[in-house]
Amino acid sequence: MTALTLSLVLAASPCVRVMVTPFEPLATTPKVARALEEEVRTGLAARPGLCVEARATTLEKLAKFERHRLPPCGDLACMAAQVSALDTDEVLSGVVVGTGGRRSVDLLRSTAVRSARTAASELDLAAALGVLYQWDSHERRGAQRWPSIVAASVGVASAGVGLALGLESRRNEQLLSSGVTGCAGGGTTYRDCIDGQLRTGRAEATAANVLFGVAGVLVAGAVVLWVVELP
Amino acid sequence: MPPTSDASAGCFVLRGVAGVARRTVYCSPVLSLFLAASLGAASPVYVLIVANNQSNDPRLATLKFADDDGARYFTALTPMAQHVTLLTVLDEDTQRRFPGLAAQTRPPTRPELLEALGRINALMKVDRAAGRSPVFFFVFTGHGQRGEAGEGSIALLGAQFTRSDLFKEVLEPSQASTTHLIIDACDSYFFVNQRGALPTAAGQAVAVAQFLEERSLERFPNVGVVLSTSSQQESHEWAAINAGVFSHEVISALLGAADVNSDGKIEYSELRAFVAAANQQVDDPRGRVQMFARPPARDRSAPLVDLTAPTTNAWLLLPSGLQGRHWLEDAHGVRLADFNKEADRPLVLALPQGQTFYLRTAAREARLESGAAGKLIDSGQLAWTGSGIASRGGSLDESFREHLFERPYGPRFYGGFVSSSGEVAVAPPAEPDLSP
Repeated sequence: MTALTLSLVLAASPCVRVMVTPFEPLATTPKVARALEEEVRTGLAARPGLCVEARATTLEKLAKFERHRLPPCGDLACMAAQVSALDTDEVLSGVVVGTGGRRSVDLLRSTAVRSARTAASELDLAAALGVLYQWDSHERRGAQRWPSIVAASVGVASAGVGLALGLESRRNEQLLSSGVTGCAGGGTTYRDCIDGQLRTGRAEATAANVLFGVAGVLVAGAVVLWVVELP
Repeated sequence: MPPTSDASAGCFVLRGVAGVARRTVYCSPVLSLFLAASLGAASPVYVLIVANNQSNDPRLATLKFADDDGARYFTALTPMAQHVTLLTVLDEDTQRRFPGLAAQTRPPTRPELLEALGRINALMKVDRAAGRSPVFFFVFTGHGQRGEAGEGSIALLGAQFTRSDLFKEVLEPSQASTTHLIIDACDSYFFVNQRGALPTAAGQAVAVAQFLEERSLERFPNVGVVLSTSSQQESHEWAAINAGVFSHEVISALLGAADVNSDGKIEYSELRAFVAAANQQVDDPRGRVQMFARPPARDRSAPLVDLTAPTTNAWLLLPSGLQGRHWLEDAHGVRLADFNKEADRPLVLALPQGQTFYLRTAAREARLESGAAGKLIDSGQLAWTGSGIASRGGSLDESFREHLFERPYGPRFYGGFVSSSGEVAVAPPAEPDLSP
């Protein structure tokens, strides 16, 4: 349950806002550049955790720049300022190159803290996006580990407490069986004391079994979370 | 640098299903023929390069790098062409810098030249019959001279090739739809253009006038010319790059460095502006490269090179933001291209496939593998390290080193250049689609 809750919390976290600037044609036509830009937009929209900004919104934001073109940034400070000023989390820009009778795309992904670029044939566009978003996979994978770790920890703790209670219950049972009850007096008083010890032992045994069950579920959940990638 | 010949051009990449599976590079001579036939089917390109260090005049010193220039034209133009012939005798150093190339050359003699012209014209005739528009490059690097009669000539091995020969043997029988003459030689202007009149008796004046008229470029509206008009040999060659300065600038431009409007085509005005920018800051008068360029009269926007056509090149992208003076060298130290880029626009340069190159500035360098044909390399992804470029002596050398390509070339320079020169400007650059 804990693991499931944690997973749901993670999945419900807000998406990363991506602005895709109009792709620039180099040795090709604007129409070809636009077509490949749309392919990239579609590819990004299919990636989990990304929200691609509508093109109309992007164009509105870029209207203040000369020829709707973002000034190139040479360092991270410039990029961070640019991303912040554009009210987005990251910017993806592209150049579509039509030399040698083929088409290729050069992509630059900029966030406030880093940038990555890659170039690929139009036939390898999906792989290029994979390369460009590699760091997110690593980070998301790191972020996905902690529900698994918490579930496993709680499971192990439950198993430990269950084991302690189970051992205590077994020890009481053995003492009672050997006549070492620790109860004084006789008659009703003695019987009540024995009944009380029996109830305590049963309660400990039940709690131990429940805790073993919980531990088993949590550890199994942890293993599943470790292996399976969250959306 | 192993040159890209027809044989190496026959490499192709086989993709798996949906283009995502493993890729394999195949090369074979048979496929080379297939690829050569399929390259640029609409406008097949034929190149004849004549490069000769020797002079037929004992007063003129032997050139050092005319053969290198020929080899560099061969390397640069082969991936874009159907058929390339190189007539030269490579010296020992050049054979070391271009291993394997010597076996593909023929000597730059008159018979070899005429035979090559005949062979190329036969191929172009077939193209024309098939409805194609062949493009012919005639490139010469070496000694040029002006005779006593004022007629220019270029030095072949053992013979001169005069302006009359140029018209009679090259231009008149040519089957090309478009011809580009690139002549890097002293006094090359007089090899192509007439100047003054031949010294003749009065009675022969009409015949002479008719002769000159027949030998005028005006009669060939499909011919464009690019000429080095410097008259001093020293201005032609620079030891630091093992090349003639003019040819190096032309090759740099043709590989894409001159493409100011990002359309993938290098027009004459772009070449002229590029060379002007490259030489603008050279203060030593001996080092100033002078150029005459005239596009074909039929179409003054006809490109010298169309980089969008199918080739076997790989490509280096220099993104927006990258600026300043850079040059590309191969693993043998052969300088492929120099450029000084403005920051505004991206630039793409053609690279021979399957080779190692170094992109350099005065302070740093980055190694890159050009890889298979069609591969696009983003220079922003390269790993840069510091580099020390050794300096060699001489005032002219220093002037070249400091000031050649010192002036950035891009839309700003080009705009000023064409407005002052009256050139036919290239079309404005294509802008991104801004519809929602």
